[in-house]
Amino acid sequence: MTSPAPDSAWPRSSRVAIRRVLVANRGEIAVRIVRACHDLGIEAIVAFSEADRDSLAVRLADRAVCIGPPQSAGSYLNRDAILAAATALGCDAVHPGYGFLAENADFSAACAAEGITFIGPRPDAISAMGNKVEARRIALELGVPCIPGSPQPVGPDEAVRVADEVGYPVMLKAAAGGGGRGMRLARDAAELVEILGSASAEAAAAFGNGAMYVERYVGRARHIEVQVVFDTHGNGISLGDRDCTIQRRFQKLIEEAPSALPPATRHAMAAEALKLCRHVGYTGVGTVEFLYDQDRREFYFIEMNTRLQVEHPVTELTTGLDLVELQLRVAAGERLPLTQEQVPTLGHAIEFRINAEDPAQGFRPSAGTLARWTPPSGPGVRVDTHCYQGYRVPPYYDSLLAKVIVWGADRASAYARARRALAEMEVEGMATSLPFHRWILDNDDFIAGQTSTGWTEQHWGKGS
Amino acid sequence: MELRQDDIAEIVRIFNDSELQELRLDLGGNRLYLSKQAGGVAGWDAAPAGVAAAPAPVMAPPAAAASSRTGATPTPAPDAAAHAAPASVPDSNLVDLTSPLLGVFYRRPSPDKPAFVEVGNEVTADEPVCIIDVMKMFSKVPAGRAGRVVEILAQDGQLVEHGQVLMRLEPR
Repeated sequence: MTSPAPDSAWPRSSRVAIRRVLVANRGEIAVRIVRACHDLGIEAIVAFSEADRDSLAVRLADRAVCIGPPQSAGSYLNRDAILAAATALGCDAVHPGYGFLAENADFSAACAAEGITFIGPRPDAISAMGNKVEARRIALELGVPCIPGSPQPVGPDEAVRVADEVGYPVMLKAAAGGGGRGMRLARDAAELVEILGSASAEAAAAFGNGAMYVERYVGRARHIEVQVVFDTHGNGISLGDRDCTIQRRFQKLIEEAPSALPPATRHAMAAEALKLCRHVGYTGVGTVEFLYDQDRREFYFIEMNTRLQVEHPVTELTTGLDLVELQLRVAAGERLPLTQEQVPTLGHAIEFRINAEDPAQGFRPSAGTLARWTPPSGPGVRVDTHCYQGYRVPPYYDSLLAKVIVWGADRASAYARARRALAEMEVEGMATSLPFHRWILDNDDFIAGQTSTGWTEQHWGKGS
Repeated sequence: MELRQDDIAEIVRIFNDSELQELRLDLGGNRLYLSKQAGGVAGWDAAPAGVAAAPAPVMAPPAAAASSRTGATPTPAPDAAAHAAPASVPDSNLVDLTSPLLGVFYRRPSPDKPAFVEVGNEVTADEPVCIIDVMKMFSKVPAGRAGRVVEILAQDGQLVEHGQVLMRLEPR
């Protein structure tokens, strides 16, 4: 892995007050956290499910502990088992990664009650920003621009009234949803009423909360997010933005930094992100997500992810900082090592999610054995993965196999390097998103930055 | 004459207790092939010349993983094939429903709903009989052909492989 900047803003000799971390996650992010711990001389213990016994994270860990069955409800979402493992093995901190328990305020509180450091924000900050309805209320109160819509969860009558007011089409969103799940588009009142019931039932089943709210649908939108980090001493900085416009089913496929928005807009967006975080007493790393309306040239706050994100390496390559190290150090009570003015801005980085999904079949996921696995390497290429040749991809979890992240001095050279890296990569044994990525790197709209969040569904597989 | 399941079970028992390594029986419409050879089974197709070349799928051990018999002869002429150890006698009239994907098998649309089908239920070809969950993408699996559910082999919540037999149906 090559980084164009110094590894860390801290002196290498500076030890972290945390000694032993329980990694309560799986896949590439568990590997990423184990490596960050080892770089800092911290012991890493990996909590794994029965399906992940042969995983790379388990192999790299100083020690590993099986916490339950393959189904995540009994393992990676099993708070009691994870806490029991952490206390029994003498861990002083738990890193939840992303997904699973990463944005669970009760788990954060339960860790604190056991005297274990939760590597993430305090429970009250998770509760405030992790719930979309509450986060939106706070944003409106602070004057942060939001998409016109219902301030509170709605029933069918209220939903139609709000939709008439803001104009169709509207987006129906689960208050407790996230990661693209629990979102539905309605083109008119009949469709809105029709899908509200089923969407609410789905949300209740998936998130244990059926509350839905309605927003105006922003057609030609770019998804732009601001990376922030706060220490426990009241200092917070932005580490730049990321453009995550290329998505399928509202889930990201490609992320790049910096965004191509006008500098004044980028600065204003970062300032709003920091304002929100300061208000809730945020600590640790987090991401404030915005939609940018390319027709109106306005941005709107959509939600905050109170955790490390999948696409964090893009920011690492464009700042030279290690975000997991930042998490560990601020969780241990250290002060941020740099001011806003000292944050480097280095070239251009782009991440491609290599998913076990068939882009020719609507990105349908598949599981199986990796008969061949040859990731790219070389200058300016970083691959974060838990895969190896012969690895059996289990069907229980998400489809992310690897993140290929490339860096270039500017956008054009990053794209050129991406073409080279993705041409080098070979995977056999299952369909992956690689053909989609190779296709998009030669697409004129993509190269010209003329895309929006619905673009992939409109153009992929349509012969353009 | 027609071979019934009881007859086959009896033949298998006698074969198991005998010194025989291989047995081919052709009783008009009924053909039975038994073998004690581990690893590779020669099958009916490797039978001596003069035997009719009707489709008779070779069953790979273990015997429990019976292959589909949907391509059987037009008249009700059941092909019975059994690997001697362990002796298993699939009913030749039945059709296997196999998993189209590697994933997790679920018998109900959601935990609080009743199962799609129970043993004994009549189903249409398009009717969903189970769900395969691959990375939270839930695919409903249709019966594939009309008939009666005779056996449900996969356990609810169990990992199933591509091609694994989930259920057996008696076609209508």
